[in-house]
Amino acid sequence: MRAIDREGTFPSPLSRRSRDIHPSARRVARVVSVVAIAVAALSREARAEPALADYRTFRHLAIDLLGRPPTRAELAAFARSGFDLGRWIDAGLAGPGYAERIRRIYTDLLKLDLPEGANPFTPPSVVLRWTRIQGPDGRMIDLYFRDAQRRKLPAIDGQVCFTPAETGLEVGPDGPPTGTPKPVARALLDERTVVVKPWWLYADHRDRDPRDRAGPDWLRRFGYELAWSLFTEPDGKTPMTAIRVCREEAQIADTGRVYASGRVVQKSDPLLPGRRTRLPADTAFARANAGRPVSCLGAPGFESSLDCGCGVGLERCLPAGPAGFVQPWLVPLGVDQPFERAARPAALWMRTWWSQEAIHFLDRIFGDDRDVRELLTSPATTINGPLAQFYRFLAGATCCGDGAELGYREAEPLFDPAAVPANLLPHQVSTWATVDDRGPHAAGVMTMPIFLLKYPTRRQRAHAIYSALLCRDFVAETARLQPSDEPDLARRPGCATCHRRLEPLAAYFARIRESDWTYLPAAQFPVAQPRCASGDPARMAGACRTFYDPAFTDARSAELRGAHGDPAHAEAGPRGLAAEITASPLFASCVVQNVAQGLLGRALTPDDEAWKAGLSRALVASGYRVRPLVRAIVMSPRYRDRAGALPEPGASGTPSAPGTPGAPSGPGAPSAPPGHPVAGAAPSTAPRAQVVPAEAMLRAYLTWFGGLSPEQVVQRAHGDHRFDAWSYYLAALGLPDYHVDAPRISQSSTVMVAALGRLGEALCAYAAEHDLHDHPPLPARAVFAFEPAAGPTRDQFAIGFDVLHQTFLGYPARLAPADRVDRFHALYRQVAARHPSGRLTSDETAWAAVCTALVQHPEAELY
Amino acid sequence: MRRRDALRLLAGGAAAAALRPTWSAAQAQPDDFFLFIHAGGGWDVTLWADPRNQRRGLIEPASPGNTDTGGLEHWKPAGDSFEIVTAAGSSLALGPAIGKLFDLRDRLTIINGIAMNTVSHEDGTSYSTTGRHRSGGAPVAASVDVVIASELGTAQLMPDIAVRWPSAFTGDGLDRRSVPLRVGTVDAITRSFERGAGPLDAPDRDAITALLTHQARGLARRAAQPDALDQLASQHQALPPLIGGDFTRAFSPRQLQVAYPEFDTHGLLGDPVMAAPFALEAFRRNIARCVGFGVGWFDTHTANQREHARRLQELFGVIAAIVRRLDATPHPTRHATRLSERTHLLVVSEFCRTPQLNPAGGRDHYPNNSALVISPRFRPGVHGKTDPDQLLPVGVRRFADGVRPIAPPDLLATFVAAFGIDPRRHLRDGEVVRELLA
Repeated sequence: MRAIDREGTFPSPLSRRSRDIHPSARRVARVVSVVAIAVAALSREARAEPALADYRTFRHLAIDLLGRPPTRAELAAFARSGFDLGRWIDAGLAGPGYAERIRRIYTDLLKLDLPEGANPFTPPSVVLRWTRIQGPDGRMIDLYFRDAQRRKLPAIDGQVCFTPAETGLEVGPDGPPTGTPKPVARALLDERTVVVKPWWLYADHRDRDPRDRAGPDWLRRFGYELAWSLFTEPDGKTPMTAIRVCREEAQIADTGRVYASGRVVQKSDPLLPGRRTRLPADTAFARANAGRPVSCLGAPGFESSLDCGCGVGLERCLPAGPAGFVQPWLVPLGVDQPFERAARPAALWMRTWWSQEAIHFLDRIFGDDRDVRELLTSPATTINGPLAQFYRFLAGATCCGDGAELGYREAEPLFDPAAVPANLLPHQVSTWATVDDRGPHAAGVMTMPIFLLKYPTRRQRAHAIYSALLCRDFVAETARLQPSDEPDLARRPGCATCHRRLEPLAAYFARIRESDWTYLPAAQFPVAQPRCASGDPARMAGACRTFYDPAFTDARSAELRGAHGDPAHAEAGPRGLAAEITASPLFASCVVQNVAQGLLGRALTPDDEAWKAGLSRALVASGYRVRPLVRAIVMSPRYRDRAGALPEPGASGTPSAPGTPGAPSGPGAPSAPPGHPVAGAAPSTAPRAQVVPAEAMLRAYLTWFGGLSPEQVVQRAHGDHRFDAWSYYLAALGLPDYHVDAPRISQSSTVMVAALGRLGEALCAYAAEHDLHDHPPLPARAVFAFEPAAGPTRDQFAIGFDVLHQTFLGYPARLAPADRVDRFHALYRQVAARHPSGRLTSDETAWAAVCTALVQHPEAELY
Repeated sequence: MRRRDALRLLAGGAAAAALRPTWSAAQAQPDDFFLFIHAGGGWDVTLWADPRNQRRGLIEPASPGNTDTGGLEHWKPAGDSFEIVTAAGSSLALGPAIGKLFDLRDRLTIINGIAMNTVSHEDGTSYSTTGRHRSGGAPVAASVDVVIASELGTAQLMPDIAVRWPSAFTGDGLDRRSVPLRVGTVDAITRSFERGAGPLDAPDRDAITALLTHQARGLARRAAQPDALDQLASQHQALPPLIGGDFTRAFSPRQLQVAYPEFDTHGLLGDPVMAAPFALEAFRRNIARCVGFGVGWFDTHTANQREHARRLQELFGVIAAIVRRLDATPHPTRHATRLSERTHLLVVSEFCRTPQLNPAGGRDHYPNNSALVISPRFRPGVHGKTDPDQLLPVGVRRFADGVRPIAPPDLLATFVAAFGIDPRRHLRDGEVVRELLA
């Protein structure tokens, strides 16, 4: 038996060359590829039966490149003479598992998701609130309206389009109406409301006569379904075929006229009878522009016009409600493979897709092997129907607030609505289209809503990019802060240690509002604003105080908030930050560091410096393509060394005294997440086992047990109460939680062991029923793909055991320690003896026990 | 002199007698329990520990204009702001968000003016709980719960449970049995130990567990780096009593709600509050040494600052309810001893919020902090202070490296030393602040 490394058929071309690397990085890359080709050819001709270390490396490769351990068929192919590992790796590098693996490194760094209750997207101009009134025939009917909608009739201006006197119902700030309903007269109903076939009910809502109504097949066709509350009339039975909307909201014009009532409203005015709020006052903008055209696509049109509605099929609005859309959640394997679905409010609907936009963006870079600098520089993105709707119609809703006082009335978008494919409709959640150019302000992930909300302040944004993409931190170990009047943190004693670097970086985000994506154009928001000049900055108010910093204001001008670190950076915007970061010599080495640490499962050490430098040069020479980098890493001896994390049968390790209180745990305990140094100890290059990433482990379980989808697992086993909800398992498996910034866990815990045990026991029982009890033909058996003997002898047992061993541990049982078969056979006999009869036979139960033990075996859970 | 040098001096015996290590005289207390709470997001200390009710310097105090005062038990208007909360016979001066904890004021040890030197959530969280700033984006030292679990908790079934508590198991000198169970909810713990009605039963599971423990130990014996395998063996070994006993029933959220109705998950803090009764039950049954949990949403940069005080009041209500339960519960192993006599609470956040309001009506991150300890080992009262104009930490005592404010490593060193643990074993920095100790 020849080991791959001894044969040289599993090459480490780059590392072997790194000691005498040529100064020309391009030459390095060429050398790499030549050696790789030679070695690949060698591997086709010279390989014999793999050794245990080879199997383990193959398992690592499968987990990293395919996102799951190898199948029995893949192991069989690997073991065959002539297996071309280089080609197999290249095929893996071209697949989605690889892209996901590398994306995960960056999502773990950037954590692009939001806490459950944070930042619900509910600007009043796009939220269609729901209430109920009693129709002329006495039946309750749903009614949609916008809070603060301008209406001509004072009694209903800014409120729902009926008074309490007309309906008998009081519409509160949220929730269902209160009171005793009374029928609304037909004429009044038709005067105040319109029947509309909305986008969430009709796929062809833009047609004159929409007919393609939402139904159960929408989940298959479009990837989402409506919650029943949006699908049926209030009686819960009658299919909802259209909805009633207040007349103003149903308008479809793109442009309206500015409306000013001329009314003067004081805060001290009493509430008029029947009104929940005071009458809306005219905005300064409305007073100054009455009668002029205004766009209906932004908040100013909504606030200052009677003519601006929700557009065709209400496409410019989202239906509010506690549970409008059945959304995927718990999606560690992707949004198309959810572990749970739940009816969720529309306020969270968009957030789901903001997060998915970043995932698709990263997948495109890594899957298509694009220049990794595009993370920050790319004007492109990939969007689906809801995102198209958001960028076309909804994003401008957060503009412009009191910016209108400074002349900012229509949003200058980060994503040009004209660039959105017009044929991408809101219900097409599974249709993703690439937009090559979002507009002049777009800069990779930095101008996406999910990034801008995850990191709401300018400094947070700069910090996130600086640390994730330059691998640097802002840490002031010994700074002593003293009270000081210095407003410039880059100068203030103590603060300057970090802020000297941070403030200029944060200035790149000065033109994007904090906690928002609203862009602040130079025309309305010059860095130095004479209009806001003040000899007494403490008295600054209104828009000046909102957008300009009193600390940097004097009698001549005021300075745009955040620009003080470097006014030129404010003008350059996020694209300027992208240029600065990607031009840094640290950028390439940080990419190498992040990717290498992720794949090696350990921190890089000074011993790795030369190797890392060579990889960095090769990365630059390759045009910043990550795929060749990953190929070089996985073909290096360092990667192959990972196989040593688990011992060979004949190995003798260092003596240990496990469980001795206070006993040192050895240098560099495996406690830091992959890719981070383990602190408190000298960094070590010695391989160390860690738990298989939770995503790969979940995919392994689904693959092992017959290619089930997460939902199928629940459906199939529900009758036996083996599963209730995946969320309990997922929470215990060490997945990172980007919502709350909980990091990925790379070491096992008792809860994790228990959760995997629970999963394994239930799935092995299912497999025993399916494969053994039901006894389908061999090819249809997922786990027990052998013909079991009743009361098997040791040798008969060993045949079936080997199938399971390969399935779960990734190598033949004959390479395991000599006593392994005997010990599992003993377990088999012990369990079989205890279960002479039952739903399963004693042999079937015993095989379920063997399966349950193997699926939780240390060599299955660690790698 | 840097703090780490000071510790080295202490280690070399060159320190003055006044700095004699506290732990040298203390005994390890294997029947103490520890509860750690993280107020995630950065709390506003001017609303409780370090109250400010006057506009001065940078200080823009809470007022009805920026704070929802409805429902605040101790809000009494005074001018534009509030009246400081005091009581006859007590020197404590607290803010209006202190809530029901005010009734326990004689047991509170409040440390103000903690120098954080950071305004990063991640870094502040690590600094508060490990005493070290982050490096490479990751914690570089063990968190205080891990240190205590490693030193005092390894005999427990679950030495350290971290429910959204930022536990870090990092560094040398730690017993691997103290690896924290890090989970998002207590449900994840209890559900994971449940087993359905399949073909296998408890004896089968015990046999499987024994086999897997043996397999892991066998691999560990031959491994060059055996720790992960040893750890797995210990974890398999710990399973049978957790799966086979009444653990999952007693710790189910429903049962906890029935047994501990005073903990309400319907408030602003939500479900994470359930970790409190979980901890109480775990201590009562003597199966955990340390429980840490996190409650969130104190990061109020915008108009959500308005409800910051109510959030704090809820948190302090939870803490008060915990203490009252501890008072009413006998210690599981010590005769005639209440659990509260042997249970110690440390409540931290990553930093405090700016004394001034931002244009959105919120408060941003600020490199000062306060912490709360409730422990019979600690001396009640307020320690440390901040300057009157800018809420920045002020040096209040002489440390080995000169006069400076208390920093997180000092508090953590003091905390672990109070239980007989030599802080030098786990903390690079920090001095024991003897005046904090009872």
